[in-house]
Amino acid sequence: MKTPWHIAASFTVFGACLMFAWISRALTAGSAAPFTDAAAETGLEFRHFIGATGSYYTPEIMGSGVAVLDYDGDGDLDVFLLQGAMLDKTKSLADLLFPAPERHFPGNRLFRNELIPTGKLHFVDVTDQAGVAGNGAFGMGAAVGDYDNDGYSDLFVTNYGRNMLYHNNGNGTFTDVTAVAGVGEDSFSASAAFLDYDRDGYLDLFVTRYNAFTVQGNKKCYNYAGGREYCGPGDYASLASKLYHNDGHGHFVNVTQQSGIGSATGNGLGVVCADFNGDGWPDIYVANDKTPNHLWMNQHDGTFKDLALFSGAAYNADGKALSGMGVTAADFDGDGDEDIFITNLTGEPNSLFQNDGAGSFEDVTNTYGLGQASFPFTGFGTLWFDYDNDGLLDLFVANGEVRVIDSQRGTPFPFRQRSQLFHHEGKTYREVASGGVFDQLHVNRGAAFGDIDNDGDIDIVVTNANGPVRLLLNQVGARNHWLEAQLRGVKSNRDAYGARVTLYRKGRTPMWRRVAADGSYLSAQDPRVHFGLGGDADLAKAPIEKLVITWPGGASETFDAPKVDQLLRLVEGSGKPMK
Amino acid sequence: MAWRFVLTTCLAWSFARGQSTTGLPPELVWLRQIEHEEFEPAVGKQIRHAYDQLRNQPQSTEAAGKLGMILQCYGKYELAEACYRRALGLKPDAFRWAYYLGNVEAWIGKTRDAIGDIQRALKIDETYTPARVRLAELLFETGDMDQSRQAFEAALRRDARLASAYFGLGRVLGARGDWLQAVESFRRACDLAPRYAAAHYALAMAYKKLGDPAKMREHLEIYGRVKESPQPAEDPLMNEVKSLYMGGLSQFAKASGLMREGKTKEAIAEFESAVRVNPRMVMAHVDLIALYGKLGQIQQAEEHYRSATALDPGWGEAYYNWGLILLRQHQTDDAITAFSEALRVNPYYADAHIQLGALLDETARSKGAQRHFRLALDDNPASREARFLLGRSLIRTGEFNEAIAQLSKTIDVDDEKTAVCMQTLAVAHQRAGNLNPALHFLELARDRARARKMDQLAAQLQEQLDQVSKEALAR
Repeated sequence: MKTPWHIAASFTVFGACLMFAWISRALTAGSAAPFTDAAAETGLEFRHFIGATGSYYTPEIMGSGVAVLDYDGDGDLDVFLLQGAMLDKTKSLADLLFPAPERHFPGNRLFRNELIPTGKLHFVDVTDQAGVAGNGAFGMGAAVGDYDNDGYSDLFVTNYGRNMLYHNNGNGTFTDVTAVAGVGEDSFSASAAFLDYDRDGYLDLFVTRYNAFTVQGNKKCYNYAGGREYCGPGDYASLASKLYHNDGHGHFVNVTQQSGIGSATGNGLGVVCADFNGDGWPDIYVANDKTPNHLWMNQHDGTFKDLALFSGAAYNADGKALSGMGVTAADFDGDGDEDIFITNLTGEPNSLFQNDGAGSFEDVTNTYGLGQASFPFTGFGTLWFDYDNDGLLDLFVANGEVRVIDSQRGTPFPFRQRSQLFHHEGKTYREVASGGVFDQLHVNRGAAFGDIDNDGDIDIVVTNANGPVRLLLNQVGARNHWLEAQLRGVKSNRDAYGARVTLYRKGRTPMWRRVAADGSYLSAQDPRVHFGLGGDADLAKAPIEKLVITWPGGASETFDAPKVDQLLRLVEGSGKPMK
Repeated sequence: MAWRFVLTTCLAWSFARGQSTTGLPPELVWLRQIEHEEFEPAVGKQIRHAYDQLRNQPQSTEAAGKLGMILQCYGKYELAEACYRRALGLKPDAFRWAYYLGNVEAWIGKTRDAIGDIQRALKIDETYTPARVRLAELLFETGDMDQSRQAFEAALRRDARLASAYFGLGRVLGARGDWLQAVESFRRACDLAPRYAAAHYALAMAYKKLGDPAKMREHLEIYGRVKESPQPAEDPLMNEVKSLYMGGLSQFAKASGLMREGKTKEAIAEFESAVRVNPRMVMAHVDLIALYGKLGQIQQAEEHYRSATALDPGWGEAYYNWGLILLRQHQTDDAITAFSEALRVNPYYADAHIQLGALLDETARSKGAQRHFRLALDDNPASREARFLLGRSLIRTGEFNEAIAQLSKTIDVDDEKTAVCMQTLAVAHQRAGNLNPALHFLELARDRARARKMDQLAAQLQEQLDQVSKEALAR
């Protein structure tokens, strides 16, 4: 079968896009703001709809997410946005507290990026052609992965309602295979992730569930002073996450109980899959809202054990189960292991857990200056990424309240907060007081990260509950050098999720990134790994020596020193980048 | 010039009139949202009274500060900040308002201002040691470890009995990598306040860093026991703010504690007090259904059941608790209806599935029962009760192999139920014709029963063992 990324034309156009990116960079050089919102000007017009009628249904305040994926395999990232719905079927549009926007289409939306082949960053709504609008449920999150290894990104959608799996047909359309695949859980699911937990070359599926809220069982909840608010996580019973094993024939087997995942419940929201103890097998970390976080350590036999308590990653340093929302894992301190960052509620610090390499964690939030900075915010989407391409992993946090903000009382949807960007300064993080998009108040929720304009730096799509989506284009990263790599597994799962890409530079500690699309909150990321390499002088001082990939199956492969400022396509077992 | 005098007089008059209309100085005008906000009755009365006091005496430091304290107590930090700022503006040398201002600024993220205002408070009165601890905590949270350590140490020089200061100092020492000293500091915190959960947790993590897993586990166990306990309250001024709380939740929290301790009558008294303060507190009504049911006071239980479901029909727990009472009254059909209603509003309610399943099983509707047990396990795979009941029901329907598989998972835990689980597993094996395993589990069950001094059960198991032995010999 001809796979999309064999299309030579794409590569030619990719070169043109790079040219476009360089021109853009020249035009924006000198701009103070590291990110600008380009959603409207690029046609990414989407307004989230919560369908609120005054009943304070929990999904209204928790959703929704976004995925960036190259669904048509043309070499640029398309955007899939989750949409809410009116949950109370006994009410009519006239009962809505916030009228549906003029150009509102019910259901989730898929926007195709026209960067390739037009050279211009522009989005076109292709939902109807693609057939991914959903099933009328309240859309929560998305996970992206090529579960059948046919070369096309498939799409899993979590809902308040029945979840859905869309098989990518490779011709711009998807087929709803939920029933055949056996993954149509009908409850209140949140983030999901594809991972190959048994390393059999097929992506399995992990789905978090928030709690036992139902429309019929909706409770009236009040704040400390007696005012009506959305209910908290503990007002409904917590649930166990779900794990599905991919049998390699288009069907998933629910292994929640036999794998041990069902042995503990929690208010699951964020999930990230990574090898936390360096044994070569993917583990699973779940950020739970007000219940202890879970660290499911892979036992190599199809089972998992929750070792969060003894590893030090269940609670913060005060022994408190915080309100975990979004989560990201990466080696922020460059010592070779996966650390964890979690976003939490207002009045709680976010959590930075530093790994000692063996899967034992220490809460170092305050040591890195991330404690007080997050105190007045409720964080959701987040990711470690190198926004300025200086080689160090920075942090973005999408903030938005879940309880009424007094100073916004009386205004529509009074939960607006600004998002935050933290720059890694080596020994600490510093909030970048950048103004512009970081001064704007929104009810930020999901955040998906990727190089959307293919210019060598990471951009962000941020969702906004009951508001418009934002496309935050990076204006500063491409001033430095960079390298991106797209991996293709052959023995391993085709997306190579879980592979470790290590970049060796002369005189420097090796820098590595994990191939993944998970993390953040209800969102799916660009699976291409990205390295910031610094400026000319830095690169001259420490040139690249080689690139080493540890594939998910365990095999290691070395690639010669690549040229910088390009996207490499690396196929398992090939030994050299594809042309 | 006369026209100028007239105009000035008119302006002054209209200004004065304007001020008396709102009664609030300009920087506090946005407090007017209090007039429209929804509160619990007692809370609303308290807040509005303090608000009126301030409107009537806009130049009163005490009125502004008191309203700030009340608002802070209810988590309204932005409004409280405005009040404290006003109070401090009227009386710049007041330690209390500077300190409170610093605290609420910290809550709303104005960290630098918070540190500045607490330092200002300490210049006014350096003897109030909890303020120095708070300053040290804020410095720690901003990553300023050196200053934080100095402030904690200064606090401890003034008062060596502050567990919170030892805890904070331990955090700083740990952040510096000095885990030996950190352990010492956390240990002192635990000695001073033995139920200080955060300190025990931190001590466990410090022992982990030092490679002492036994000590780590020891303190994690203590942490697990005390984590719901009240934590050290070593800041009298902040305690004063907390003590202003007049909502029903304080009685509710107290009642919940009493209920956990099994003090049913005392718990009822507190829950009743909570619903008097806040009649719409559904969760108190829900607990009262269970407590009155426990005492056999069905009429009172029913009153609270009716109140709860009228106030908010979304509480599955109300139907569930009422269902349990009906069950004890042997009103099976009504109990089935109540549990079904609980499941209608919350299909994930594992306990309701279990109760409904058990009732269906007893009334010879085993297939329906098994569906509910399976749903309960789906929601809570760790539910031993659901697994046991499912296994028992499967024996009834002759599905012995699955019964054995389910019941085998119920015998890992060693408690007072284990013997019965083993006995039922033995029955499944016996019915399936596996007499040796049946004998094996009956022996195990008998020994467990004896070990736990469950003599009647042990005797019954011995009889069963004799019968199965005979059956085996006969073969």
